[in-house]
Amino acid sequence: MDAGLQVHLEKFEQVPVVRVVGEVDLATAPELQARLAELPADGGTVIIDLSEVTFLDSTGLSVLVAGWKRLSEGGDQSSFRLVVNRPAIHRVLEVTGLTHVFDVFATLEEAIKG
Amino acid sequence: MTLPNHSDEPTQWGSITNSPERSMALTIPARPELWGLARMAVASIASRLGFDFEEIEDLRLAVDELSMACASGIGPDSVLHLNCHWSEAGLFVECMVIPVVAVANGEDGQFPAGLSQKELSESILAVLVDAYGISLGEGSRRGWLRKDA
Repeated sequence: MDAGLQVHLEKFEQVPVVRVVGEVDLATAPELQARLAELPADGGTVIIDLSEVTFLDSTGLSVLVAGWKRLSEGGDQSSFRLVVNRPAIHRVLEVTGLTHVFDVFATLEEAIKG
Repeated sequence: MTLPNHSDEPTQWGSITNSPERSMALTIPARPELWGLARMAVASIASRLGFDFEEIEDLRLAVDELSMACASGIGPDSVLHLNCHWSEAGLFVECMVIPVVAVANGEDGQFPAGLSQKELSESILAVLVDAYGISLGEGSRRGWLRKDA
């Protein structure tokens, strides 16, 4: 039944990009959590591309917040950027107030530019 | 026939019938990898009722959060019962879980606004639906939500 989740670690113009594809819920969030834990907390920019995520619940938000917290420990220059272009995903970030926490962009190119 | 004893739900829903034409029951193992079935069933009903795309997405998320509130941290052999009733007034969804073996809940991390995940989940429900309730007892766990047409 599980629609599954794919998490790809890539680099775009030397910036680490975590491309997430599928549904992020209680069943699949551990996979995302594990991949985010592989990112070095070196104070650089990290982009989480959620443009191919079709469902995101509070478990997924919890994983994103944990990742943001860990990477923020790398220093003041660290930047945790999200790419979100689906209204349903943007809405869950909005209703939880997380659009004020994360830098949210509509495209990967915009996220790279910051 | 009226809905069974939803004394804590808004009274205007007392007129809804649970006739076979306007109700649906789904029983699944209370395992997270199967909650997609609950989301799909509710989305399908909402679509037939004429809810728009955004409302259907809201319901998918709300049902997921309701399932999580009722079924997270319970034993693997527990069963989740999902009952849906609808009318021209909208959609009513009830989620019931009778834990076979209760286990400790996982760590409930804090969010930037000081919210725990449980509080975050409830704040999502509060925004997405017109009314909801969650009752967690030792013997059973029950949650419900209402989305007006």
